[in-house]
Amino acid sequence: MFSSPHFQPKRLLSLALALLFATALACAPAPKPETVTATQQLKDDAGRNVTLPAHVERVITLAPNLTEIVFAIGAGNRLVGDTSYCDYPAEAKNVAKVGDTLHPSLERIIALKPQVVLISTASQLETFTQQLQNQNIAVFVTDPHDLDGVFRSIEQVGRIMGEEQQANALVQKLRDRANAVEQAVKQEPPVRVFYQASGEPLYTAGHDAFVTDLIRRAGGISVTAEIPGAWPKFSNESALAAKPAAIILPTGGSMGAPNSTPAEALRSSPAVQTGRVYKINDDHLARPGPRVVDGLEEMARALHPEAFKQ
Amino acid sequence: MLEARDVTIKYDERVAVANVSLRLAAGEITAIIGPNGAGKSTLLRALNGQVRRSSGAVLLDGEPIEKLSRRAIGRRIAVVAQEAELRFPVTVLEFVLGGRFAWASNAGWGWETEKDLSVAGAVLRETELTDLSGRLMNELSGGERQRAVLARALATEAAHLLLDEPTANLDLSHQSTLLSLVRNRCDQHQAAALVVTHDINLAAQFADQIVLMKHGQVLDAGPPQAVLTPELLREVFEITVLVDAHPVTSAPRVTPVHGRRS
Amino acid sequence: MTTRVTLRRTLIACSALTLALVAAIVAMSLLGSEPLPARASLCAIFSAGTSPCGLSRDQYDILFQLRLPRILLAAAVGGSLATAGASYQALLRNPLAEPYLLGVSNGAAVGTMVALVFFGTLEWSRPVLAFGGALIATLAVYQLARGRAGTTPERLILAGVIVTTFLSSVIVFVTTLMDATRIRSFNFWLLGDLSGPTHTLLPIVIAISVVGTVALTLNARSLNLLMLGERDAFDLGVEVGRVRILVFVVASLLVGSSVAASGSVGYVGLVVPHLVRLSLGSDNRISIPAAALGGALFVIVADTVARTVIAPRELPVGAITALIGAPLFIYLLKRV
Repeated sequence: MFSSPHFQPKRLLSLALALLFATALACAPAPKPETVTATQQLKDDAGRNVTLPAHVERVITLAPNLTEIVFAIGAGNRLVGDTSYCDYPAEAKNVAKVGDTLHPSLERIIALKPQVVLISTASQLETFTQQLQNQNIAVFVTDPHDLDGVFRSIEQVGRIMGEEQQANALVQKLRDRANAVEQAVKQEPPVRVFYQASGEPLYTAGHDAFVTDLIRRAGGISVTAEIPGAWPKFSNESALAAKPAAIILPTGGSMGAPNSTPAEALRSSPAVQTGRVYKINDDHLARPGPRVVDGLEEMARALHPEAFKQ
Repeated sequence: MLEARDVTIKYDERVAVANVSLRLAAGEITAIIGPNGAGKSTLLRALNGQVRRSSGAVLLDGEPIEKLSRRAIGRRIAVVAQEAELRFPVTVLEFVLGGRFAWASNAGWGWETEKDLSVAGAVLRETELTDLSGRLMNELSGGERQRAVLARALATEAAHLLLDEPTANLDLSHQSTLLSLVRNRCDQHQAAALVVTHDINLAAQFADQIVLMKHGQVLDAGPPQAVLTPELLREVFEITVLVDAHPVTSAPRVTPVHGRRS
Repeated sequence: MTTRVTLRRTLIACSALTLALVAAIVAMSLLGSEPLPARASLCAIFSAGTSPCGLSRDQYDILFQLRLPRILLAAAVGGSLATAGASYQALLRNPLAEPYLLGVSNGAAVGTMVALVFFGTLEWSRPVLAFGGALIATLAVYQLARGRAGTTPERLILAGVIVTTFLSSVIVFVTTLMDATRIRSFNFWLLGDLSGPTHTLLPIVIAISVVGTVALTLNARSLNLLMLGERDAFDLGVEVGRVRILVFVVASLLVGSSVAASGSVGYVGLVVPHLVRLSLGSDNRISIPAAALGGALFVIVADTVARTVIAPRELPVGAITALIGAPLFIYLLKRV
């Protein structure tokens, strides 16, 4: 056959190549229409412009307050990871744990394939955020300094998760409750309060702690409201000299029972002498989430019981 | 009187000193000669109670040395050895006064007495260090430092001096000075001295008794003339030597004959 | 120093330092985050607290319940740490030996942490377990350092660095197991915190400081000889083993009680003995008591800075001792 006079190898070769080419063309995948993942841009509390997917299906929270917010706005089923401290609401305990707030596991986070990770500055994760961003995981920082800041956090998370309606409704309800409290105590003279974050050593809430704002709204005035910083270590002498009329002890809650007695230096204060030492669930004061309004109400009731007698 | 009776010292399986008996007589210098590893320094250290014996006894004035307190021993035995590196500034006088520790009535926070100062002064004169007494030890030359170590030992007024290679690292003149001082102490105060040394000829000049040691055992002991013989020295050092009399002092003079091994 | 240390010189130096210490206690008690009227305060102090001299109830409380106890605690801690440092330096023949470097401080810190976590309510447990931790660390260092040729100072320092870094990791490990709120306060304590309650611990720390310093001073002459060489000291009549055990136990007590009360205040055991030796000589009969007094002065001043410079907030006193101590030490090194 090869020696047939009609056989010409060169023509056969070009035919074969043409056939190969045509087959190749036929098997090539049809070019996809270019998928433009819809994104949204938000500015977070650290001043960063964060680009996130418009529709977030998988989110991880690295602080208990953020977990509470996500559940409160109805997006709990899209939470794929949270910290070992996240215990509220009850469903939060069933979510996969990525570690604690200070040292979460980067590998676990990445393995859970979140689209965005919500961080509170309490976590102090500077280098961490850089590594997440390298993995194309958006990082959003919340850092409220007052109650309005907490409401803004709820709204921000609402926007991120596409639950603006829920979020706004929640914020409205909370705002109403907060306003009701402020109204109730408006007439009363503000009570001088010492917020004891820890007794031994003595730590208190400073100017930048959102609790300071809560105290103000609850009809109190924090004696350490002007101290710079959020959680300063405070001098025993100044605590004694401050002579607060009331002492707030954030205790109980998930952190357990420490800090349940006032510090030695406050022993002679009017607060201790008149028994105005109020233990309030730490989780209602330490987590800038929906439950701070519970804390606000509890503080207000403690500081101004007459204003709440029905 | 310091005496070793049938002392054996073993480190695990290795025998460092084997059944050695030795007596240091007052007014005499005894030299121990032997190759490296013969057990000379170990024996010396056993004599002041530092090294524990496996068997045998060390008696100081008739009492077993373990029964005595360190201070009691320190009043009767003084050691001159290579001085440790000094990491804190100390003057020659302070250094020499250290020798008076064993005599302190209050060893805790006691302060030096007039007697301590006068003994130190005498000893500094004896060792010709009086002019240097205010200088720091680290500023002295090697020979001067070794004299200070000897001065400290003399300040203890101990009746027994144990010297471990006291002339190593010293030049000829200092070697001679040092041993002369020891000789004086023995002659004038009836001290007994034990000198471990590598320098056979120096030992021949100054020692009243020479002890030859090898592999932890004493091969022979006696006056230099009797012990420093070519046969014995060949046995100890495995080298041929020529022994003649020093032309001036007539002490035995040992000269190795290199290149001829027996 | 070419002049010999005598009893007279020692008594003069120690009296001068004691006067300076008393003056410092009185002077620093006038400083704090709350202003107190100077004349009234001085009057109250010199009346030994019997007369308020015109101070208000609060001012009186601040002065006698808070400030003076804290100053006395600072003095006791400073004295203890400096004495311990001076003794280690003499025993180990190394001017760089000090409680932190040898792992003793960290051992005491681990002991205190164990007490806080497991026996939180028993205040006594802290100094007891701190002493235990310090002693265990000391023994661990000593065992590690034993070689065939005995324990040279180099091996001891090396073993000390190993033990101290190991214990640091243990501390970090336990800290990460603590919850976030306690971490902040614990880290503060680890850097030295004299603001703790003093009622039960202060008398203990003062007593240990005094007894320990006396015990070590009573062995100063032995330490003088040990400082020049362990073998030489042995030959000259020092009961080396006994003195060594004494220094280890007493120093552990000193460090343990200080750490239990106030965390790790660094540099005191290193800088103060050195300063004292440079000015008064290396004789331990003068330098140990002088170090105790000097250490007390040093920490009183450092703590006053720590509690006034950003008042009413506070800094950990260990940060101040390091800030003063490190440059001072560099300066000393260059001079020597």
